[in-house]
Amino acid sequence: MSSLDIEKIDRKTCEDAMQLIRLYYEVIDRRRERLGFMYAEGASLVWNGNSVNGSQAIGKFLTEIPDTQHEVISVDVQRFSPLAAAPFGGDAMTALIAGGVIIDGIYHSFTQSMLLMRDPLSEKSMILSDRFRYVD
Amino acid sequence: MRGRFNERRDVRDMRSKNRFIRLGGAHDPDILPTRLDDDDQEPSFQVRVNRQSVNTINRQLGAGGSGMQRMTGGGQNKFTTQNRKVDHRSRIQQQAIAADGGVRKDVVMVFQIKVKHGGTYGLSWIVKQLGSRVEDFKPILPEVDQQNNASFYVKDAEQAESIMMLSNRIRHKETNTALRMWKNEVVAPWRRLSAADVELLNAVIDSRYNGEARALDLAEFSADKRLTGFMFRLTSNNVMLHVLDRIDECYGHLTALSLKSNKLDSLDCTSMLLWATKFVKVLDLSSNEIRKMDQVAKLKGLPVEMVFLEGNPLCDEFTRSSDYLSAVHNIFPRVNMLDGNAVTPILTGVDPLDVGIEPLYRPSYFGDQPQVKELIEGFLLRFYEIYDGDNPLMDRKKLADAYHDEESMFTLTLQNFSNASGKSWKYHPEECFHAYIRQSHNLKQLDKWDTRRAERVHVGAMSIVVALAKLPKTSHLKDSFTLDVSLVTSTLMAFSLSGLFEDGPGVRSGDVPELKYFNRQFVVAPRDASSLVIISDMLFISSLHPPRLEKFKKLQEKAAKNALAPSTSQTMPIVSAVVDVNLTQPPPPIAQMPINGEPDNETKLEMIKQFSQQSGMKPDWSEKCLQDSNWNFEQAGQNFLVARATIPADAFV
Repeated sequence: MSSLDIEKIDRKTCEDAMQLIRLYYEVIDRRRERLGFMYAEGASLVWNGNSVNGSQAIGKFLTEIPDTQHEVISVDVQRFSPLAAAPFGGDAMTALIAGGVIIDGIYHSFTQSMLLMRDPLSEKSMILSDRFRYVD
Repeated sequence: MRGRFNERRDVRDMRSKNRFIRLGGAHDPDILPTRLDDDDQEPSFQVRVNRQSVNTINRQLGAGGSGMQRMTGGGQNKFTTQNRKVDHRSRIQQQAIAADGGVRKDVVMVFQIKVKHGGTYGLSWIVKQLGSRVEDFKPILPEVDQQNNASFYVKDAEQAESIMMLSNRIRHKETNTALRMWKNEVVAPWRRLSAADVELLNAVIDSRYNGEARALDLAEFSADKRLTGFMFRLTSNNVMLHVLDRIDECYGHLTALSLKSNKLDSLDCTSMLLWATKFVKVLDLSSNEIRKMDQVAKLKGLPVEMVFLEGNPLCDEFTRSSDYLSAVHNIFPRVNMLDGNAVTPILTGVDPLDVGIEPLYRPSYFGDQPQVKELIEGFLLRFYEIYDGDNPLMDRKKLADAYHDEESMFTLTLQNFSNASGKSWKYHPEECFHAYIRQSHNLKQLDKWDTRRAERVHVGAMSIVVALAKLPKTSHLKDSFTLDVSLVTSTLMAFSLSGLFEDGPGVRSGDVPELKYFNRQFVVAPRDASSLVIISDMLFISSLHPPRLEKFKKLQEKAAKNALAPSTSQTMPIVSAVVDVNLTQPPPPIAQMPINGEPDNETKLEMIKQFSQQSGMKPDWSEKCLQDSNWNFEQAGQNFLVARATIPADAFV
């Protein structure tokens, strides 16, 4: 792949990802009722080692954790090549996020990694897998 | 203080810790003057116990003597029998402290934790915050002192330490301040009971327990014939604390408790009941000396439905029965029977306080397929063996085989974590920092590399290994690894590895480099039946401030402890994350990996053998348990723990 191609793809990928990630933390910090809609139906979540499967169960699980306030300090993102993204409808991204979170009043550093796919029918991006873990 | 402990070294250790805390607190003028430096300053207790409530005096004794003068003459409570007892106790403490070497055996050393401005937060809020974070948290005699600081005692040094770890980490939303705490080793405001006393007390307590009704009747305790000639009143802190210890130890499932006719005027000690049992529905406190409803409020949190308070002075406080009832309901909203009269409870059903509990922090999650774990672990082991090689420039090129020739990608980010107050720790050594930051693909810092994207995004195996080879030499600490497998499909797997590493030229050359944190996410596809190929590799690194490193380690220990705790009920227990995705295009030409289905027979036999060893069950029972859990060893272990009580004895070897 030429470096021009890489630049072009990366620019678009970063724009898409930033939007999604901003939305995600806004929803989890302030509009948890919408959480379930952000995960694909068969999505999986591993939250501090606790596994939850299915968008509905994930929405319920995350809604029930104590209040959060995230502060993201680092976001990295990659878009899968069309070949690698084929099983996910042709467009998928992976993101690695780091930052701090105040949860139920206590401050932790965390990292979170997500696999995002775009539903080819609705054109909506959904989280397919999500892994969250405290650093301390 | 000398010679109080048999192990003198321990005393010294504690002393030096005390000193350390003192130094830490010295910046804070609000903290220091209120505390007695218990091991340096010769205590000159001029204890003038005048009309002080037992609480105040305990507080004074616990905190030291400096605030004592201020207190004299300020109390309003009557001079009760308890005061005399406390007076007596304070003399014991004086003796214990003054005697150099000849220390009384009945002195108990405990840790007093103080919370700055604790009165503003409220005791129950503090206790709830700490209780949800500190394992087996049992604060003794929690109260708010004259300086508006909250204080309580804990017996265990380790627990005191883990409470201190939370200092400055818990935020109070309303005031937007962090809880500041400090601890002090002090003489407990209660005496140690002799072994013979303990035995006698236990015998009496045990005989007063009705197992069928799950009821403990401690009415007129000191009048018990077996206790005549002894001073075993429940008004003595040490007796009451022992009773509660016994309940905690043996009768945690207690549903009815009578403390009738025990001359109790304070429920400070009794409030420990909150930590000993959670099921008390019937509570008889009648015919005591309780003057204020505030005392009863110290038991708030128990699911009491039937309560007896008659015969206490507090009842005279109320002229209208509706006021009395509403005061009781404020404390115990589920009460449907007050002093023998049926009343309408204001709360029924599930306690709303039960929701919003944070799920436990658990160790690595591999899903329920042992082959997946094996495959990924083997892969990572080989990967880091090469990655950590002595000569990164040469060695890491060997990793080309691990990445997909064209479709793979690698990016990295370096961003140092900051703490709650926004400060971060510098990344050392600088040359490593620069090597990483030149590559950092952090979208939050996009303005710094917007025009140089292609330098930071590496596509294809060859380009990736060239980039990896330029990164600093590293050494990863495998003991610190946590691995989460977050996605397993027939064509892709995603997993995330986090842990500690060292980097830079100092690695392995005798220097002690700083430990850093990393989190690396891999998305892999099966190359063939037994090997994987990386599609995506994302690396995040950060410096770790030494106190944060300590917390990281504590968290790992906690995870190990939580490994066997049963899963929260609403989550599906360990289900494989197989995803059904509608395919609009044919899947990539990558071989299918046999990651579904059961393990082979040989593996099964080994699992049965190990399970039998660990559970103590016979092999056929072990096999059944594993089979019922779809050959998920961990799940089978959890099921076993849950069902152990119902498994017949002949199932065991």
